Amino acid sequence: MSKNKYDNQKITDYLLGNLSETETEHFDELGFVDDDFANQLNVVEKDLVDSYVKGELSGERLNRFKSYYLATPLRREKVEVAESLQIFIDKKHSEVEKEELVIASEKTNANLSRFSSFFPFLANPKAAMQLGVIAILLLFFVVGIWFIALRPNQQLNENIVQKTPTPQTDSNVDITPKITPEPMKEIAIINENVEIQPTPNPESTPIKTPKPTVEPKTSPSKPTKTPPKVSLATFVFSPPVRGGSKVKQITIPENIRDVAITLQLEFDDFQNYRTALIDQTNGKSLWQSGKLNSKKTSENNSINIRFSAKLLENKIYLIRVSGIYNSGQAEVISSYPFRVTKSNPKN
Amino acid sequence: MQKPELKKNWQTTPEAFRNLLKWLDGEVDSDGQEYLEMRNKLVLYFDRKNCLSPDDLADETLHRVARRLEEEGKIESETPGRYCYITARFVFMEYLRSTEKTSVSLDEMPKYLQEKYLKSNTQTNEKELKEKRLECLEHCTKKLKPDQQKMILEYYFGEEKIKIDNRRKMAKKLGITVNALSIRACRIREKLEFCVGNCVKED
Repeated sequence: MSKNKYDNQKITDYLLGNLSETETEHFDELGFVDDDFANQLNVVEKDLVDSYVKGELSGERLNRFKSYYLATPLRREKVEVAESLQIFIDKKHSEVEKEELVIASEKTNANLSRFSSFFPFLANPKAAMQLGVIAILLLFFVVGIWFIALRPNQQLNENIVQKTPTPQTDSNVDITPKITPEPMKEIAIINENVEIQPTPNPESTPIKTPKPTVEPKTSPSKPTKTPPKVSLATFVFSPPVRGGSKVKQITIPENIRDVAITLQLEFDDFQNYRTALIDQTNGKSLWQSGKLNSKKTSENNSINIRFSAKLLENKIYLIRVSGIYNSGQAEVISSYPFRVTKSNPKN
Repeated sequence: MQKPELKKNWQTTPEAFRNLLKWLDGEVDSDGQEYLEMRNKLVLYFDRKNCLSPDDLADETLHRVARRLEEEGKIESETPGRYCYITARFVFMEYLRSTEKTSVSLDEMPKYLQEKYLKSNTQTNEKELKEKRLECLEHCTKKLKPDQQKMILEYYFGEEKIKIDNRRKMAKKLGITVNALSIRACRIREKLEFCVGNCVKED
């Protein structure tokens, strides 16, 4: 979805009936079997119709649009709807512009009248302009003086700082180790003993947490505390593809205690979300989250959830995400189906 | 093994329809969404082929798929999308053959049909319809979420270069590609157009 893998020019030719029979049949089929193509086709068709409505088509393309595209009632209706949409959008924009203009002129008038009550000569635009030019020249002059007068001092200070010797670290001195805070602390703690097998499905790739960069030294007087055994499998689910019914496969070792999932959102329209884990075979809700906030990541906004791995067996499940309105009402916005395979880590 | 004979006068039973929905859904219950999307794809396919009644042909295709499912129990050879496409091609070819036999010019049509055909092409109600559509656009835009309203109004505004620059800025602001933005805007527009279509039909 991120990159356009189809040639928009070819799609336009397809819509205008300019392709050969073989190419047309290929595109016909893609419209049924490839959701990315279907989406792209939709985008290109809307842009083509809009271009016609705005009078941006010319020459052979315009002729072809009139003679071929406008041949069916359904497509003529699409053009009529696009015309109305364009009128509506232009109207809305001119309304906003008018409002902004009125607000701006009211503000300017108010400021001017307040200002000119103190400086009556500013009511004359020519005098105001002259005063503005003088003010700018004065500003340049002050900045120039400051730059010439203060810059050498600053350089001197910089030199002094550089010449101050830095304290040498004694190699025998024990340095308190700095432990790098764990990234994605909420979701990415994995028991070192557990090897999570990455599944071949790129849409649900388990993440391994990097170990802390410096291990803390243990003093001999204090007995070593064994860190509590926490085993967590983490997965990232990309937004469900519209129209696609592909079920993500995840493999969970039997001795994993918790499962954490990052659900990437296609749209982040709500302030709060709720999620539920549903057993797809009987529709039963096995677990529900509280109110969750989305988090911004580099690509998509996402929400993180965590639940006990005991809830999962070798079955198909569904995570249902609902957006919560300010009124408290919830609306189901997407579902993330996945199939669980439990594996024995010893095998 | 001999294939069971296709029943020509077969009617889609509620059970067969349920089987069709289940087959289109695959392993996940979409609450009929997959069926609606497939039907929409079929309507657009027949429309791109310049067929006169794409809706009827889409229904005929789905009827045949449902019948095949009833007879065979399951269709495992192809994905639902591909199987529907193959069936649609057959329906289209039959349509072509039938129109070759039955097509008549407007002059040869009975008078009442001529009037009906001409009426659908006249512009008597065009002004009223346009006004109604604008009212519906106002009404349906308010139903969209505020950020969706903003996106529709910004994305589809402007001409040529201004429009392209505008879209680039929007995509940058949202941290997505222009292509992802265009798909997002297109979906919101479809939602809006669907609402407008229903709203116009209401009166």
